[in-house]
Amino acid sequence: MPRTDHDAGRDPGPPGSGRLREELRSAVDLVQLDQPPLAILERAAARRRRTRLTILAVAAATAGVIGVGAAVAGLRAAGAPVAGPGPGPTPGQHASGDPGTHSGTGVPACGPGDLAVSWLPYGHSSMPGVVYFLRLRNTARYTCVIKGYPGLEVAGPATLHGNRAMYAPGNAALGRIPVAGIHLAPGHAVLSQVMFGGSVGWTGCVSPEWKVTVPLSRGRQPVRLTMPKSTEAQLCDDMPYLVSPVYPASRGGLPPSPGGTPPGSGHHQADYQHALATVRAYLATWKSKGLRVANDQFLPPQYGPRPGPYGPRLLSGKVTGFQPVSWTSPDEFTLVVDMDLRFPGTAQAWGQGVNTRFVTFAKAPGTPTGYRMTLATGP
Amino acid sequence: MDGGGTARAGARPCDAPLVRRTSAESSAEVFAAVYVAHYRELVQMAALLTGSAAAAEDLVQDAFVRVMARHRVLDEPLAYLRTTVVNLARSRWRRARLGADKLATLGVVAVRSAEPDAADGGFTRLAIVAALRELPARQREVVVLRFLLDLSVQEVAALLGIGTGTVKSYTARAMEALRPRLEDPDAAH
Repeated sequence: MPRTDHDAGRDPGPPGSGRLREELRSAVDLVQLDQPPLAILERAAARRRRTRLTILAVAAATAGVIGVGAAVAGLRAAGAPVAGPGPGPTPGQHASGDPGTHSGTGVPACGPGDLAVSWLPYGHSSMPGVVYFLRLRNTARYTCVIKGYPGLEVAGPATLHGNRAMYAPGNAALGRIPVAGIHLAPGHAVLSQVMFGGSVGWTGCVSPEWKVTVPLSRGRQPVRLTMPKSTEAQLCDDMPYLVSPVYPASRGGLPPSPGGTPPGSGHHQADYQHALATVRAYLATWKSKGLRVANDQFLPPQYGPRPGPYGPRLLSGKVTGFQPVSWTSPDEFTLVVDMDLRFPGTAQAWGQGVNTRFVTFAKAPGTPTGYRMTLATGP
Repeated sequence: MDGGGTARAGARPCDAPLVRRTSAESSAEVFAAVYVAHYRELVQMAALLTGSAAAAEDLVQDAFVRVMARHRVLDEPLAYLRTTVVNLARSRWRRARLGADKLATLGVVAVRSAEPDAADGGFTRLAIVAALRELPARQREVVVLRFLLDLSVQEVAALLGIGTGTVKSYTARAMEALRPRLEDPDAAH
């Protein structure tokens, strides 16, 4: 690439940069070009534009939320509640506006310090959007009340722009979610669904960082969150995202299980604890004997031993929480399990610290704990 | 919604006659001019960012299609295209890495061909390309934007949405990592 007059007066860069420039330019001289006529790309762009509009129209119709299509077109739908001034619920604030206690009950409102906020590593590709779940778990020792919409803002990167939160009581994935006060016992969680627009025809897509303001605590310091790497969640320029009110995690919130309604966390506790013992045994085996042996003992045969390098070494691992997802029978059910994992080196597809996985347990007589399990980043 | 903060960032003053719209110009004409004048530069940039000459043209054409598909008229399409190419290259890189991680977890080891890819004239096998591939994505982007496109620190910072200090820091780290290669061309073989 030839230098231009414009180069004159430019910062020459650190020592060695001249040589680097030469090497880069020599390298790119090898790149062959086959530049198509612009008209071909224009036709592809027109197709993409039509596809995107079709998808967004379907999105708006399916979700029953007028604002999706309108937001992308740069319009504000009259009936859709959106962040900031305007009609409808305001994120981060109770509808009745009392920031201290839930109206008249004496039960304190859940504050940011009471809640652990995280993303569930789950991207549900239900047409047309992608649904993610924001989880707020009560880490306090007392019951508190939570109600309304979590505030959700894009915190970065700076290259991302034009995104708009739309707060609406329903979407295509879960139907209508009532805004209601929820008494959140210690250890229990609520979910809020976040749906991104379709992923066709967008530009500037990156995995964003978020600022989350918990309901009832507007004005307090927001929590900064990144999405789990496993979701590869990407938000694009000008893409709106729908945020639902919080609802009890025991309602399910995830696609319905084939066996019927997911159970509340109070049911089937004995089965859950038995199943979690399997996860603990799996982690103990992984730590002491390696992932190959652990997979062989606790996972279905297709996860069994293979030649070659096999997964990261585990320094320590423990189960730190769980949430029921679906219940088919005592012989088959799924939990979302939080595990705190530490690795001495690379974690590969795992992460240092909290790892959340959808774990499906299936009764398997003759195995060490009576269950085999499958691990997934989504259901 | 403007978005111009990013879009304007990568434009150099010398690009201004090409990319800055006036009321008399149609955006299509400006875009066509950018396509003719800057396609090659964008492909070269994409090739270094992705480490693959074969993927670079697809990526740049995808960037043009995406940007042209937008309803919004861009003040400075070249800057916007550069940002789009960087983002697409980063996405491609992330997908490739995620795939490799998953394969590694399953005990599958990726096998690379021992023969240079004849279709790209040996580009993929160049030591400097291999060395760039070893850099973290941000460092690689900074190196390519600064030393291939000759953008200033401020322009790179604005284009990537990071601070000028961060650009300098990435540059220094990248230079440190590349120094053995620059001092000894055979070091990476």
